Amino acid sequence: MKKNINIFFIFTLCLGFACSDDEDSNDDLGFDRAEMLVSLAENLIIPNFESLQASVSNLQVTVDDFVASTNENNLSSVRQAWVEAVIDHQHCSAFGFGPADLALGSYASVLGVFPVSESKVESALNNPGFNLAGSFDRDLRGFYAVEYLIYGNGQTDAELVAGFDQERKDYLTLITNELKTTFDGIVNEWNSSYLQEFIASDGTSAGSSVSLLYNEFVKDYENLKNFKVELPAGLTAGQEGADGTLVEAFYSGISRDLIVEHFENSKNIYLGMSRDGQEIVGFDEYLSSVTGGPELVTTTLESIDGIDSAISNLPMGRLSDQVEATELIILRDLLQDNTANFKSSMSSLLGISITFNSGDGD
Amino acid sequence: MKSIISYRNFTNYLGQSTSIAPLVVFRVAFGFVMLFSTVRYMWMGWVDTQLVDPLLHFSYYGFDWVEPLPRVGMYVVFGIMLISCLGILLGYFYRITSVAFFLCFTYVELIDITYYLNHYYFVSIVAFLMILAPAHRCFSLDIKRNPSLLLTKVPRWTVDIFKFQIAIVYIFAGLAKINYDWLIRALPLSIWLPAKTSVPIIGPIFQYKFTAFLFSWAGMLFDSFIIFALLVKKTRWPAYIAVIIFHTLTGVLFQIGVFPLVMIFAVTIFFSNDFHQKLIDFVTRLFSKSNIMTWRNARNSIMPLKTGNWLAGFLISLCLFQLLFPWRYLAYPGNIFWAEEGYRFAWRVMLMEKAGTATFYVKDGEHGREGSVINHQFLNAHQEKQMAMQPDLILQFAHFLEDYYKSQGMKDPFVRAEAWVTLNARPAQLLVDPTVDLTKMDDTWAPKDWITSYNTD
Repeated sequence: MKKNINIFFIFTLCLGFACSDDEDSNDDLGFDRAEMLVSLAENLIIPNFESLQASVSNLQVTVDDFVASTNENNLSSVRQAWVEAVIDHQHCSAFGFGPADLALGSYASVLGVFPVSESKVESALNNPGFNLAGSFDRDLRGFYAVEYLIYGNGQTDAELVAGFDQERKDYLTLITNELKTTFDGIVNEWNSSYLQEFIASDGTSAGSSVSLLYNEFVKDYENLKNFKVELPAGLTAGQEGADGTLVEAFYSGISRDLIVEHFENSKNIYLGMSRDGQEIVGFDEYLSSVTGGPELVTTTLESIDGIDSAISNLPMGRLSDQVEATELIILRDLLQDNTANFKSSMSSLLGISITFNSGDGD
Repeated sequence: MKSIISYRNFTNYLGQSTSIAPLVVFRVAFGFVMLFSTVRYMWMGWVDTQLVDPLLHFSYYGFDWVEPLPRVGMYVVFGIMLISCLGILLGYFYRITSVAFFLCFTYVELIDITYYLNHYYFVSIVAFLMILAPAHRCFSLDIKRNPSLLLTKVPRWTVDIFKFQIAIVYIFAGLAKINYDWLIRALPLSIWLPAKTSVPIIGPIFQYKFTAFLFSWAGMLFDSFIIFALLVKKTRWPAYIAVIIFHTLTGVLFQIGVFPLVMIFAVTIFFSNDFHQKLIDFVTRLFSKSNIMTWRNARNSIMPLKTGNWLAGFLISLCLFQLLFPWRYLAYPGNIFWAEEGYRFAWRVMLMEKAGTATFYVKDGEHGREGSVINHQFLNAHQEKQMAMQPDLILQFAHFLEDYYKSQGMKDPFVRAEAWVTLNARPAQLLVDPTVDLTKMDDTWAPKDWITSYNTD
């Protein structure tokens, strides 16, 4: 035994020498994950949700006015308020954990679903016994059900206002109230107790804040690629062709703007940037502190630049009319190429566990 | 010089007898840990999330006929497994419960290869050996029912076969760690440890690169030599303490489930007959009023030592298989960590950090319109993660997609995969040739020439 200890001691000594001249020594400076969590929560996540809460509150006010006095002028205020809210939503959809993880799933997977089912909306609003809280359907509620009601599908504004009967008014109020209640609840929870919980859980195992945040960040990025670009462009396996009705915000036609805003938020999380452009601590800084990280950051930054220019090259106007555009295919390919950077390479280098299943072990 | 390992010597060895005590304690420990493990598995909801819910399962080579039962059926299997664990623990209807446990456990294990763990493989082997061993012939409810079954001595092989199997696990795990990345670059530990700085008390030491080197070398030396320290009486206790420290540490640091517990309990079989005898006597005294064991009166009941030729032959084959099978990777070209040809069933535990993103493109042979697949529409997060970095699973998924899109009306689907894989913190590379139609490829023992070669720099 003593001999073993001696041999072990010698090994240890050798190692001490071996790694003293190994690579740059600032590898030894640990990264403070808690600091990143605080920075992201206080400068990005909470302000973004607060902004969404405010714009949804405003939407509710305009909806109330429109219901009380249904005219084109008030309709236009509702639409304006909706656009603001749905843009704010792009800056929150990646944060669907903790308070934003609702009973049916992350809030965006419940209230941000598109395309909505027009027939489900119509039958729900004409059904006096319809119970929204008891419904598991996601494609008759949320931002894009509101959009369908306030933009209509092909009517003129005058026709829409004329046809906005009590059932439509009630349903619009109902689904707007659901949005309002949800975001009031999320902001309230973040500000009362969840922030502390979020910061305290600064490990990397499954269920830790880093894992939750990272996981939702990746899912949200994949949603951008899969559902906002790939499906409308007809680039998903089994599709016969492009389909403009599959875009996000089909009725209002602001799909392109939402893609811009969505990727903006992905970048803010990765690069550590508040929505108003202030430098904060993000994943790139975390990555730069680990083995192999700086190389990955360089690769990823190049990809991000490519995606940025592909997005700015998207045709202006209604995306649903231009889903065959090659610019959309180019964007899809670039988003696809970057997926491995965000998804597998990043979690691998950071040692983040994604699922609770036990890994292999000795 | 006469060969030490002649057949004659082997049968002579098989004929020796030894105390049943270590085997009995092993049985109780195994039953207990498996009971705990089964309860835990159900408690975590994995029967549903891992076995019932997934739309498809990845099968083991040659076992694609193993299918999960409907939900109720799976719970019945787990019910039987729970009862058999109790049966093993208490030695109750052991001949039946040991077989039932082996069958249920192995069946569940074979359902989906993405959940493959070396320790599941280990448990299956041990469960099988438990069927052969007369571990219920003392200190058991079976003996209470039928005292005439009582044994105090059993053939040596029934104890030593477990020691052999444990030795296989450690030594191969140790040998596998002797590679450039593990020892010279402290990978993957220098990725994993810095992620663990928030572990209580010892957390801060994981930010230092030195810690990763220390743990890498210590881990390699531990796995390679611990068996020898356990075999020698003088070093046995310190070695066992090392076992406890080592496995507790890995258990705290990594998400490895019950594996530490399995090994901490299993290794007790290396303790002396005397130790186990005292342990049994101590527990027996706790129950002495009910007098479960009429043990003292029957000190000399010895199991017939004659070992049939078929059994001797079988045990030799099993041992040879265990000794040789892990080396099959040498027959494949390319990097074992990259291509993973011959990687499994070889005790390569916690050896590399590998992750990938695999995008599948499906093209209708007729119209030639290519589209990509949203993996999570078919796979859960764990399956997708495992599939994306293992070539044979990528192939299985491609074949699944072929069938699926055929059923959706495609005439002749062409399926290719772009799998970007990172191994031990190196920049991601393509794992398989992204131009190859995987539906035309079959999984065989032959080397897969559509796997790319790994470029280390």
